Amino acid sequence: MDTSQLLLWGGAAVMAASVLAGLAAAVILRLTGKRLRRRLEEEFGKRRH
Amino acid sequence: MSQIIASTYEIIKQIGSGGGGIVYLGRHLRLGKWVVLKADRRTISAKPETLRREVDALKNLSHTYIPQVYDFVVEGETVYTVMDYIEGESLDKPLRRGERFSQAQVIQWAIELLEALCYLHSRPPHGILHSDIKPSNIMRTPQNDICLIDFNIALALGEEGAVRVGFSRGYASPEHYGVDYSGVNVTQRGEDDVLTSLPTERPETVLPGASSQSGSTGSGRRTVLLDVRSDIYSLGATLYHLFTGRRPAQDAKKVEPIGPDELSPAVAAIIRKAMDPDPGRRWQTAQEMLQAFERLHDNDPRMRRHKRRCAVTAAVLTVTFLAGGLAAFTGLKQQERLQNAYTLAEYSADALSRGDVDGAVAYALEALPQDPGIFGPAPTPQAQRALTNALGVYDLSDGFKAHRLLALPAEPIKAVLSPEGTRAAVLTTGQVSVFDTDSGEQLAALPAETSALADVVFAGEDTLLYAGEGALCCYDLTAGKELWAGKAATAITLSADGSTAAAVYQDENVAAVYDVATGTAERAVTFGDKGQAVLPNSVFADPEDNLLALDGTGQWLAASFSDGSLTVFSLEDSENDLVLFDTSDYTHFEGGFQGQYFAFSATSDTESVFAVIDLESMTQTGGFAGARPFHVQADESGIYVCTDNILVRLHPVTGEQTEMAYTDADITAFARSGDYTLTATDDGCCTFFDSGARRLQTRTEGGPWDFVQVAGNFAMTASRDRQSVELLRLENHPEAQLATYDPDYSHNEARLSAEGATVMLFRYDAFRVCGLDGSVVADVEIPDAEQVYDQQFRREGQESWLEVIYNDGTVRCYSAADGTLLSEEQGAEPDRTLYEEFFTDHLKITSPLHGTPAAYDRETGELVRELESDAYLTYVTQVGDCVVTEYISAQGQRYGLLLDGQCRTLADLPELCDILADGTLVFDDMRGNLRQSRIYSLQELLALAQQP
Repeated sequence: MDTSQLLLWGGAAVMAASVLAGLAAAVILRLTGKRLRRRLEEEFGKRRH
Repeated sequence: MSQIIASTYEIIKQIGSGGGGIVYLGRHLRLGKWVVLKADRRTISAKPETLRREVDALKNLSHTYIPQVYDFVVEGETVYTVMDYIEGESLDKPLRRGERFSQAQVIQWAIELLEALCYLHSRPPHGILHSDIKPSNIMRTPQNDICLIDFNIALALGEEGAVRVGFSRGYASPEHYGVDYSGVNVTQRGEDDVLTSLPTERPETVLPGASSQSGSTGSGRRTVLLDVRSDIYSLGATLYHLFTGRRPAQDAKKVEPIGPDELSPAVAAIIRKAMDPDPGRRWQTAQEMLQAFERLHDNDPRMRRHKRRCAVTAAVLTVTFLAGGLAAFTGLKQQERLQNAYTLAEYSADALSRGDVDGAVAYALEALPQDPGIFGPAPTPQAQRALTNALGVYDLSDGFKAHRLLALPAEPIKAVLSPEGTRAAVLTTGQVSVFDTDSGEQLAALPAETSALADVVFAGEDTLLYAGEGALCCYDLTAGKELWAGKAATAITLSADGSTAAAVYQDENVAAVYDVATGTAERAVTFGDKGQAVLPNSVFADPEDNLLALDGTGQWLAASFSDGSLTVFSLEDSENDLVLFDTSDYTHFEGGFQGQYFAFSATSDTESVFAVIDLESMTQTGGFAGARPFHVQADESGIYVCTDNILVRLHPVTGEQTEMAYTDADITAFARSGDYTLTATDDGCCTFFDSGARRLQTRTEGGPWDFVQVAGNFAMTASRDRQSVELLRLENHPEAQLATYDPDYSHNEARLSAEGATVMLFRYDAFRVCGLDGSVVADVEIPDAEQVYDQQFRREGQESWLEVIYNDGTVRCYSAADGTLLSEEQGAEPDRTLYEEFFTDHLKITSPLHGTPAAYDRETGELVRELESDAYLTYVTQVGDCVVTEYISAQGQRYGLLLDGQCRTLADLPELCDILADGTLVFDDMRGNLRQSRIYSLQELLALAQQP
């Protein structure tokens, strides 16, 4: 595999991996965010704005 | 106790009383709505207008968390303020019961209170202070909201603030007590500092439904300037009480700090700041404090950490995605350019095979951009190979090499070279194009007779005779002008001395004979009722069946006719005309004159005859007949006749034949000039032969060829099917000459001795050692040649020898310097599989007898690349970073390939025979020449290609 193929497929793989990682991170952060907001609502009440 | 007030309100019952007055629950008689009527105690001392003004100020308040004041009525001496009835209880009551509230609940109330305070503090002109915020003045509604009540001591702020009129201990700010903690010094102001005329004592009042706070008092005697920060302190103190359940100390500096387990640190910080003794360090506005509560979520460290985590994750992934995208984009562009380079390399090879050297170089250069940039891939081996082949730097054999491809306006009808080869004239329909063969420049485009029978001949290097529009034209290429014009003509013939020309138009029965120098029509030769053969449509078809030829001095004119007759006309005496065929079945005639001899062939569908006629004796000196056609050319250099795949020169008298060319397929056209013969064969090949009938080179691509010409240092080939002609130029490489030898000595391989003084030419049964000048040093027959298994030429230091290995393991070594036998040893029998392995620094290359040689990585053993599949690998030599492989093709041809480290071909090395220790490549053209070349780098090739 020459350099250009390495760049092409490696880059595509990195893109795909970052998209997957982004999806996973989005799910995880959304869940942790929800949990945190719920905890903050318990502490401070619902957000007014 | 029912009492009607102002005929509108019915007092139902008393629900509270305090310093401010008595609070009743009432009902609006007409609306039936519950209201609160507050009887103001000040009616005794205050003027009704003052009260009305205050109530009017409160009446204009409208806020969710503030009761609406509706009316102001006077009944007797009592002033009643009518306002909303708020259901629920004040917050002091649950506090007294020991009830505790959740932090979230108190925050919600805090926000509601702060919204109410924001509203109050923003009332025009300078805001209103509640001035008595405390749990007992906060009603909790059944909806769990709050309502700020009891505006008895509410103050309209002046531009600089207001003075206090009362306070509740613990909830009142230090300013209420007349203590000023602002700055470093604590100042207590006396009554001398009174800034307003408001009463200094004022009874605390509570609204209906609220109870009077026991700690409240109206005894503040010090008038200290109050502002919105006083309300903020009171609110802070109230929230402190609600959060902790502890009533704050009266002295702001003695307020017990909120414990870490009582409250969230962020909320505690808000309360702490609200209750700061120094007004300057409190929240400066209710809006600020409100925002602090509203931003509790956002300002929470956990939320900040979460957001930071989100941001960092998003940033990292975005950067990663973009980096991947950039890499993929770069790779894609590089791939595109790589593919483009591959395509251009193929274009270059195609152009070279067509003879378009300039185009091949241009394509190769395009495939090898000087500055490829970030998106440009590294130079491809294919492009380098194309450039190398286009430049021909390793093709050191003598011969005609592709020079230029000349584009034509249409397919050629005829193509001729000038006698010295410096000019080329190509006749297309309606035009004669003349080119300079060296530069490829078009010198002239002359209008021609629109007929495929039209003709063009050179009468000198710069003089052209051609069938012009309606006239035979003589054109001077140097002057760029027409010299003279004759009658209409199609077929043209020129005497060998160039002095006389004859021309015939179509099938007319007369030939005009001209003096070339002047254009004078010297005579006309009439053919009687005969005419040359023409086709119904002579624009598109020219069978070239006609013979029209002048002899060397313009004395004889031979012409064939459509009825199969062939006559040699005497231009001096018609009585001497020689009728060879009066009529016949022959339809195709070829021929010409060599001195007094006229050679011709006549071909019909079934047979062909060839004959040589001595015009002096009017006798036939020779001839053949056969089923296959004879092709004949005759000029002052000789008579050349070919049939099938052999071309010979025929002695007109003795009939002796000298072989000129022997081809693999039937010859369809041929040309001769000097030492070279060029043949075109029906297999599409084009082959050059030297004077000894040795094949110089064969071009297998680009055919078939209808026109071949050789003159001087140039050759020309063209096809009726393509709008171009290919020019080839004779190339020699004296600068690369390393050694010469007798070309008649048959050998398979040639090697230079280690000391470089001799050359060893060897084959399986013999070898010759000769000097660099070709002088023979030794001729040696190898004994028991049939038992020879292999031969290896070896160099070590200054020693070199030929190692002959026999099947029984005997090894004989012969000196490359003088051919003497150096040693004879009995070794192990050789491996009969002929499997060989070669090693470079990084590669192991295998060469099986049957199978494709392959290169493997020496360390990993992984296959790097398979090499030539249809050739036998004989040698592998590492030269710097490159590898040179040598092969014998299935046709027995030796050649080499220059490979890069990945075994990709960088250059073809035709006729490579040896590689010296310094990397010099040695080529054996098998015609007596050993030539040398260094290996060119890509930069050198680019520099060569860009030379003008």
